[in-house]
Amino acid sequence: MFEIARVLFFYTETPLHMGTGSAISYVDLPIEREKHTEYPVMPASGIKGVLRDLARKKWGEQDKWMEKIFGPEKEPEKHSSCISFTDGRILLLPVRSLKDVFAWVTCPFVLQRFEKDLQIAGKSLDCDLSKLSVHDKEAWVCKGSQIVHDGKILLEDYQFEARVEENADEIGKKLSDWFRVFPSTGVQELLKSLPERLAIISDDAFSEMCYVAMDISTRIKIDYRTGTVAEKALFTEEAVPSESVFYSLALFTPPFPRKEDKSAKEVEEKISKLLKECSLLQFGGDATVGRGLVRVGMIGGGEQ
Amino acid sequence: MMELVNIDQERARFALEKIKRLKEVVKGEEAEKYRAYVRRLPSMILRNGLGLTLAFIKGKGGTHELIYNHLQQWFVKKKFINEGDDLLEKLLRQNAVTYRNWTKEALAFAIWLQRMAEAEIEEVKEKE
Repeated sequence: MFEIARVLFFYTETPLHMGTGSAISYVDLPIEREKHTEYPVMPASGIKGVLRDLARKKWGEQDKWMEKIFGPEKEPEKHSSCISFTDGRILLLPVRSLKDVFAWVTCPFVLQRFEKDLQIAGKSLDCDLSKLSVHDKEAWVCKGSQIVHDGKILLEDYQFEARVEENADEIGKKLSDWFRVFPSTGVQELLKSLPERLAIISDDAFSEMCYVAMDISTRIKIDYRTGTVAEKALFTEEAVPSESVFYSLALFTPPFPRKEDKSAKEVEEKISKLLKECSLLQFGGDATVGRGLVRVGMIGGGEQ
Repeated sequence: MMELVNIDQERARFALEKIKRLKEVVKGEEAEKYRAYVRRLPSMILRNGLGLTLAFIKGKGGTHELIYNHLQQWFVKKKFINEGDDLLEKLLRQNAVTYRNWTKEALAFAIWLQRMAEAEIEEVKEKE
């Protein structure tokens, strides 16, 4: 069992495509989704892989901490890795809004699950989530919300009745506070506008947005001989839009094989330092066409 | 005996039925056109919504109308509408939730229609 748990936040600076590979579906290259919710997800295996790659670049493949923390690559039976990650779960989804460009959208279930996950890391939103019963027609917003026009909010083609709620205010402020862990003033500045853009919609409406608000692009190949589209070279690809926020948990145990010399705390400090040095990481596919640049921040990293 | 109903299997079965029937009653060229048009149906619905897509294909008539009819017949089969109803008209009367459900259903069926058409109808190769 883990000794230390830390919350990681992910902010997509460019569209993110962590895909399932080809599919015979509504889109050729869909994103990974959680099975029982169909929410977009950042698979933990992907997160771990990226972190390992970062560690390799910064520490060198031969560094003794590589194997200790991430596990031996060539002889997996030798011992286990001592760091675990949970899947990146969606927290805020940017959705086109009639006013103020886009809204950051979430729902009661996402928030309640976020609270439950936070508690694993000994943290809490400290907000009352029990009264969050949002009707399908409503969107709960903060005081000073900029996405309301004539008492209504238009997200994609869906219309909601705006309700200024204390609850939304609390949550907006609390999240805004935490987002200061992102080691990028650019991202921090943008996230300061969270209370103006936050919209808490119903669980069903949010599920809908998880399809309707995804970035679907059509890609082609040009035949250099004719200057026109190459035959059969058209495909559609789905991506999570920029400005999305995910979170996951990083769990630390003392390194294997178990000896007295190293602690979970030391492992946590190594990782925390690594992320502070390099917080912009590339996840998922299509790196060379700018996809997957994600800003990562860890709450409470390196502290007691 | 297990009475589990797999909706997706039902869609597939109905789509295959319709494509096979189509091949029997229309000329080869017409079937090829159908294949080419129906391939775009899922992404058309996804991008433009069901209402606009139905209006578009209804407006085009000809081979497109065959697609419209197949969609309509599926909705009758699923008892979303009655025999003799017009799908587009009925769709536009629904509330937002039902509209969205119909869209999901049409999309799922359209995917099967596309795959069955691709499987059953020969593709016309583009001339060099």
